[in-house]
Order: sequence, then C-alpha cells, then structure tokens
Amino acid sequence: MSEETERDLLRRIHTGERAACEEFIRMYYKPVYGLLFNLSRNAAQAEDLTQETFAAAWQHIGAFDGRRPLGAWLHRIGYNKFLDAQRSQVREHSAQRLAGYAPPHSGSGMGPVERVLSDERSRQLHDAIHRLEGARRDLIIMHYLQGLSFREMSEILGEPAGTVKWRVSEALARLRQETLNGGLNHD
Amino acid sequence: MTEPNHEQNDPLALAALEEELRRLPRPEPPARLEAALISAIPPGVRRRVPAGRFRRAPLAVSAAAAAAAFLLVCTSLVVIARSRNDEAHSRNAVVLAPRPPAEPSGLPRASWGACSRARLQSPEAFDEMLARDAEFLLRPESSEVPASLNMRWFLNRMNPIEEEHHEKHSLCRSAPGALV
Repeated sequence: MSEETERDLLRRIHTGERAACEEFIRMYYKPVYGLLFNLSRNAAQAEDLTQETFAAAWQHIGAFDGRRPLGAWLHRIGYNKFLDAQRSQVREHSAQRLAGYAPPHSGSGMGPVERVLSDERSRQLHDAIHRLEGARRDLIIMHYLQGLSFREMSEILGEPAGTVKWRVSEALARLRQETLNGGLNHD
Repeated sequence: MTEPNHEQNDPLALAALEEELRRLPRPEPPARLEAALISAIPPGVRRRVPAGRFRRAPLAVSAAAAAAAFLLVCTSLVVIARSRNDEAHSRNAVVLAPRPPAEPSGLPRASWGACSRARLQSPEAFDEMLARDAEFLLRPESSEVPASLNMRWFLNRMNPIEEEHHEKHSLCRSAPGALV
C-alpha cells in the first residue's frame, strides 16, 4: 500500500467515513491475525487479540498523525497486545503451579498449527522457530512469515532499522543452528 | 550464548532457510472475524488533537486575542475603580449629618452646637441674644450676665493679649451660620 493511499485512507477515517473504516479492517485484519497466530500458535487467542487490537486502534486512531506507516502502527498495537497476554499467562501459570493445579492437556488431536501447516517439514520448522528465545522468534516471524520490512519492524520494535536488520540476520543464524540440531537440513 | 559457527553462516544454507520460511503457509482467519470487527466499529471515529498538544493559532488570531484580553483587563479595572468610588461616596453620605435648612434671608443657620448653647430657637431669639450681649458689654456694671453669653469669650476679653483673637471669634457669633 503506497503512502499516498494510506494518507488518503487515514484522512477519510478522520472525517468519520464508515466505508473507510471497513476498508481499513479488510486491509489489515489478515496480516494482524497472521502475526498474532504465528506468535501465539493459538487460533482462539489470535482471534481475541485481533479484536482487542482493532478496539485499541479505534480508540487512538483519532490522534494518529500519519507520520508513521499505518500498517506498522497497527502491528505495533497487536504486538503489544500479544506481549501483555503472554505476561498475564506467565502470571497465571505461576499461580497455578503454586496452587498445585495442572492445566488440562490440549489433547493429541490436530491443533491449529497442524491444521495450518499440513506437511511435517513446515511443522518442524515452525517448532524450531518457537524454540528460539522470545525476541529472536518474534524477529523471524515478523520478517519472514509476515513479510514486514526492516523499516516497518523498526517502527514496531522502536529500534533503528539497521539494528533490526543485524538482529534478524543473527536470529536466522540461530534458527539455522536449531534446525540442524532438530535434524532439519537445508543443504 | 554460543556464537554461530561457520556451518550456521553458510550463505547458501541461510538463503535456503530464508526461502523456506517465506513459503510457510499463512494462517487464514475465521470468516466470522471480519464481520465481528466491522460490527465493532465505534460511531464517530474522528480526528482529534492529542491531549497536551495544541495547534498554533495564526498570528492575526493571536494578536486579536491578546488585544481583546488587554481591553477586557482595562475595562475590568475601570469598573472596579468606579464601583469603589461610588461605594466611598455612599458611605460618606451615610456618615455626614444632613445640612440644616437655609434661612429665609438666604444665609445658612448657625451650627446646631451654637444654637444649642445659646438656646436659640428662632432668628428673633438670636437677635434678642445679640442685643442682651451688647448691652452687657457696654454697661457690665448695671446689668447681669446674660445666660447666652459665652463666658470663656467674656473672661478672655479681660486678657488683652488674646483680645484681638477673640474679637475675631466674637464676629462669628454675629455672623449667622458661622461655627462658634
């Protein structure tokens, strides 16, 4: 989406045009859902977080000045929602462990990731991504799975694009090591 | 943390891994999500200035606003000063005793204090008092001291040093309306 189109869409949203709001949703809800699904590996949570992301976007879009890319701004909201959810999950699990409560297993049936990634190799690669440390996992997902540019990622993560680029290459090398350890070979 | 070794940094292997990552299938959101998001659009999404940030007004608008504020302050000060002045006037009006009515001749009546001391009730009585005073002063041995005579003036008259001063005061008694 060109900057001109984005500015025009934002201007129409700011005038209160409902059609522009619907266009905004149709344009971005799939990438936002994709990011949240790949990060959480949970379809229900990704759906909830997507709705929360857009609810927060409607609250703040009136004050959004359009100096940053609209898509990156929305992805940043979504990413922050995911981090918040992850933190509250960690707190819940800690409380459950302290109380001696074991959460029920999700079962051996086909989960959401298995449904999306039909072949074994894709699943193994996805597992390898999620074995990475959190920040590296997020960089790989944003850049390779979501197709976000280094500039967009710098907006989302609040870091210079050069730093993001270096960190992505470092995370890729780590993933390569992880795939080698897991028996995946790309030679 | 271990540093990536040479095998990890093999450019061809990394390029292949990148390609494989890009080809991973994208998750498809459920169909109901789009409808849910559209139905949740709040009414009245509009542009607003963020809290704590003000748009700078044009110079002409700022100058006009400053001039209007200055005029307002000046007007307020004038109104306050006038109201205080009026208040002081009204307070004085309450404190001061009403002035005695003028005589038919146009001369003001003697002060209330003088009238009381001389027990004057009318211009005729005042004339009689003056006549009695004059008779006594001309022939003090043959007539008694009139009750209306100012005794201090009489005694001071015996003192030649203050005579001239009390002569002036005696004129006050003969001039209706002057304080004694």
